Amino acid sequence: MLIVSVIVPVCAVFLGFRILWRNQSSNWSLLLLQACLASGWALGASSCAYFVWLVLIGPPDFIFVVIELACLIGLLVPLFLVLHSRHQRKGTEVPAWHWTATVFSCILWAALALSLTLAVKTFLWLYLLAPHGSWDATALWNNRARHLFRGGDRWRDSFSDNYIGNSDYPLLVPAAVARCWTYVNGRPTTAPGLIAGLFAFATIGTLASSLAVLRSPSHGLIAGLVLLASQPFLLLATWQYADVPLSFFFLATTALFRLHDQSGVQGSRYPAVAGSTAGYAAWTKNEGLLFALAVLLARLVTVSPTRGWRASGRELGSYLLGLLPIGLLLLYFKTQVAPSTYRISVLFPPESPARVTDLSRYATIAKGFANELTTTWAHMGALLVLYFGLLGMPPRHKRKPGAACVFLILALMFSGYFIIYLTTSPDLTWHLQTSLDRLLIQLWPHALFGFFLLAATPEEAWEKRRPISVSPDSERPGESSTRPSGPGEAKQRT
Amino acid sequence: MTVRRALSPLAVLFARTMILRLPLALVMVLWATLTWSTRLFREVRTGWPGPGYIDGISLFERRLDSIRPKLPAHGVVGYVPTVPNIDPNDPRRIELAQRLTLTQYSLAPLLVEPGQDHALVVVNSDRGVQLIQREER
Repeated sequence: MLIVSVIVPVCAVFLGFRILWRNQSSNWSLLLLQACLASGWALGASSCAYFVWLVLIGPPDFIFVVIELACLIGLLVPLFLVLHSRHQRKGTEVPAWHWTATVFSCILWAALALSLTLAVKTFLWLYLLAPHGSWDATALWNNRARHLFRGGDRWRDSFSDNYIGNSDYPLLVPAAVARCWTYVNGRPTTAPGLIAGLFAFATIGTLASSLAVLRSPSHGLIAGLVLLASQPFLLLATWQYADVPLSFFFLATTALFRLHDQSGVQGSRYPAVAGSTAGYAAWTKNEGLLFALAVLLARLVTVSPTRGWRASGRELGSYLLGLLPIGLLLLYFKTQVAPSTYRISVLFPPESPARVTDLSRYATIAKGFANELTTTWAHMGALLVLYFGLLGMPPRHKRKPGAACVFLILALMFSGYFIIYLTTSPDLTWHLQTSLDRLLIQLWPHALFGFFLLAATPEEAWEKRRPISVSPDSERPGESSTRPSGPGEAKQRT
Repeated sequence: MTVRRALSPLAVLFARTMILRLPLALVMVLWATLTWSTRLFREVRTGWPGPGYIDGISLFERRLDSIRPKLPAHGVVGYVPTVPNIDPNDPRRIELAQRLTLTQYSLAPLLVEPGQDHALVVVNSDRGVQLIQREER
């Protein structure tokens, strides 16, 4: 039943995404991207459904499981039929799998397979070492899930001041875990472990596949390898911290907007789905609220001047429409469920004005950031700097705008974290020591996405080896034979 | 039509060395990522205690099994740690706070409040866990 509780909603959302991306040709990268996005999206939606049931009807039980499964299966059948009839109509479509095997691609695939196997094994061993997760998981996320699951009619008791822990933390992870426990009618540690693993590997898959779609398959595989080798990311995932699901929603939102930019279509599909993933980010952790706002600002600043205010307004309207349902749910939770005293004291501490004028706090925060970046992330940073130094940027005619928006979101998030540390933290050194590493991990997949958007793909770098440049309109099909991935690669891009 | 541009000697050199730089970049990425992945895997495998291992939180939960049947399904119970009036600078403070949180995690949905102002008080000492019934104040 545990697998059913996850597989059924993921399949329904996956089919929904297949229909949504209706004009795209199918290839491994797009299918993987849709599957990974569907995994996180489905867990987010099912978590919301659990909370809505809890508020409107009462503690979810066997009837909840039956009705939810009936609804999902009832949704799966028509979705499948729509997709099937569409494939029937498109009978002459080119077969899906274009990947041309070259030595280069084989090496990358082999390395990814090896790295993935090691990561899965590491994840499983670490899970067996700490099946309840590490500190934050037991103190916050799984603790809250237990109170939701066994709280019965008195589930609101755990949002009182007697509760040890942060009562106003959003409920995506706890409600998703409690939902899985409702399916199995018990609380095995495999449920939070499964959710943690699903989010971690969906993040890696989303990074690799989105870059494969947007840039090139080899570029996506390299990005996937880098994230798989990021020890802090994998460790945090096995510890069942909510920072990894949050990083998934950050990355998904950015990738969806980049897909929207690259598709050149004025439709509202991508921004609306991006709005919902930003909403799920806010439903995962409070940092998600900052992210949803940062995305809005960054899109306004980077898109409006190039596409005009009207197109930008339409896009942001769709984004806000996607964000609205989850935003309303979060508003209800923050105002009606979470204790107000805690929220007010944290957001508006009376010491804030004095803290802003205290210059030593600025120095402490800057030192904390510098220390974290030069210790935990030094080797990763060095690798990326060397990689960029060796391959550089794409040739001028292949450069596409879009990375600026990703980096602006990153800058806004860093600024937001800086201000939060500055104004709210009573014990700054302790706060930095216990939280900064997690904040950086939240943004790590997003930062990697931006980096690989900016850097030249191996194919582009190979093209640059010729000292005499060739104008784009004079490129002949035969010239692509010099590229390591072969001519089939062009068809895979969407 | 092919458009030829005069490139500076440095740019020519930069372009020509791509035949070396590209393989170098790829070998570097593959070597670094696989080394880091393998290192973490080895560390975890070396640290694996073997079959029969029970993690700390599961052991902590078992400690509370003796008092579990005597506890109500809901409500608030008091909690007294090993060292009741600990100095804020005592290094054991963090461990005691963790024990309090783990007690709430283990007894959920019961709420646990530090102090003795409740009808039932959980006393968590190094010798074991006790449940004390008190007259409510």
